[in-house]
Amino acid sequence: MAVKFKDYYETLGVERAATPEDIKQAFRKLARIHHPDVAKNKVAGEAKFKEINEAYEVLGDPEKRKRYDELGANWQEGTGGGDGGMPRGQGSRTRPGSDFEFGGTGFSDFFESFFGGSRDGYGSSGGSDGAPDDGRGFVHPGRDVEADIMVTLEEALRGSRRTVTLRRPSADGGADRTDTYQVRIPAGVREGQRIRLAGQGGAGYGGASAGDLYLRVRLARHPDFSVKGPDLYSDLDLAPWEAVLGVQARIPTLDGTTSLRVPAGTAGGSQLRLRGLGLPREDGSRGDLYAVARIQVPLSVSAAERPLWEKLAASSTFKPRKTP
Amino acid sequence: MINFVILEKHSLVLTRAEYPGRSAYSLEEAAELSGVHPDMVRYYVRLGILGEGSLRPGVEPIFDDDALYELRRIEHYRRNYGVNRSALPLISRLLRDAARLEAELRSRREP
Repeated sequence: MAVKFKDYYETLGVERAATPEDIKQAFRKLARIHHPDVAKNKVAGEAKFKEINEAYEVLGDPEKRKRYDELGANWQEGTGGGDGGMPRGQGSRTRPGSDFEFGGTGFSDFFESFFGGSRDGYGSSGGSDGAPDDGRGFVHPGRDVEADIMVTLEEALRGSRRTVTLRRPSADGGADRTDTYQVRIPAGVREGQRIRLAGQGGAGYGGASAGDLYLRVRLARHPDFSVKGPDLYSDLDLAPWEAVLGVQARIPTLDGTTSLRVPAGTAGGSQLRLRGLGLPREDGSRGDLYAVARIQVPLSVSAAERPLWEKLAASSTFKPRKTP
Repeated sequence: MINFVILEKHSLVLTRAEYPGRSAYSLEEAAELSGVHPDMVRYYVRLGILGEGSLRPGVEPIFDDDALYELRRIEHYRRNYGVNRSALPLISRLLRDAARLEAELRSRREP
């Protein structure tokens, strides 16, 4: 099965020499444009959003990016199957990505083959497609198969239904088989959580049962929110006077927008909690959203503003540092 | 379970019934589905390597898909790699720690 090389730099529109900060900025910018909630074409927007996420998953991680760069240098179009780049796995292990083809998970085969969770999954290490690897005869249960599924925060909030396809080569040289699964993503799903599709893994031998298929949840990165358990965090940019005097700010939430009262004297790094605006917990309640204050400073001041700052500097008794 | 079968040009396409996404298994069910003896399952529960779902005090443990995955993984190592029972908790814990750290690193790298 040919695995097509993905140009993640092109996906994010950055140079190969881009700094981590460039990559982060490019991701945020594109993720805002193509986020399914704002994109004009919801379906196309979601596909693009997941593509951007996949690219950032690799390029935003220094270790994965290094591996990707090495892989790209050695990749020969047309050889496919992972043979054109680095060896499969770190050794002779077979990976699901190299013989199973997933659709609808939000990750490409290329990602699944080289950076997917199944890379280290035990299910992938049992020899070729469930064949006995211990020489103890031919009654052998099928191997478990694992793949990542990308889930947006909105899906984690409300739950969703996903159509996942799995194409597997036939064992006896006949037609490929493609299975289509309707998978319910429950509200409140966590990063790394596995969803089991019983008996849909590798075929068993000698009348033994088939293995299971496990989908491992990877939460898509959101341009505005980061996730910690059931809680969400977002940056709240404030002007210095807003931090000092307080302000009523409109901020985005996963549910829409809300109004937040920033109290007077809010220091940079302060976390303002918005109760119940996080992700669902298992018991049905919801985590919280924390707006983390960041004091922003104007890059330049106008001729009218400068005297005001100077006047403030001259009359203020505030000392941010201890005098040594 | 199979709803309908379509024959495409070169491949057989099967559509299957919906998968619930979150499951709960009793100890006996988890033991049967993983091929691990119920006493061993209890032993793993005591060691705390099957996740929080299996550790609610005072109530019969309930296993989710993650716990079942863990059990099947343990059984796979025992059966195919000859890992002995006392080493299994160690391996399981190392793998879980690695996964947890990876997830934490990932969330710290959030843009």
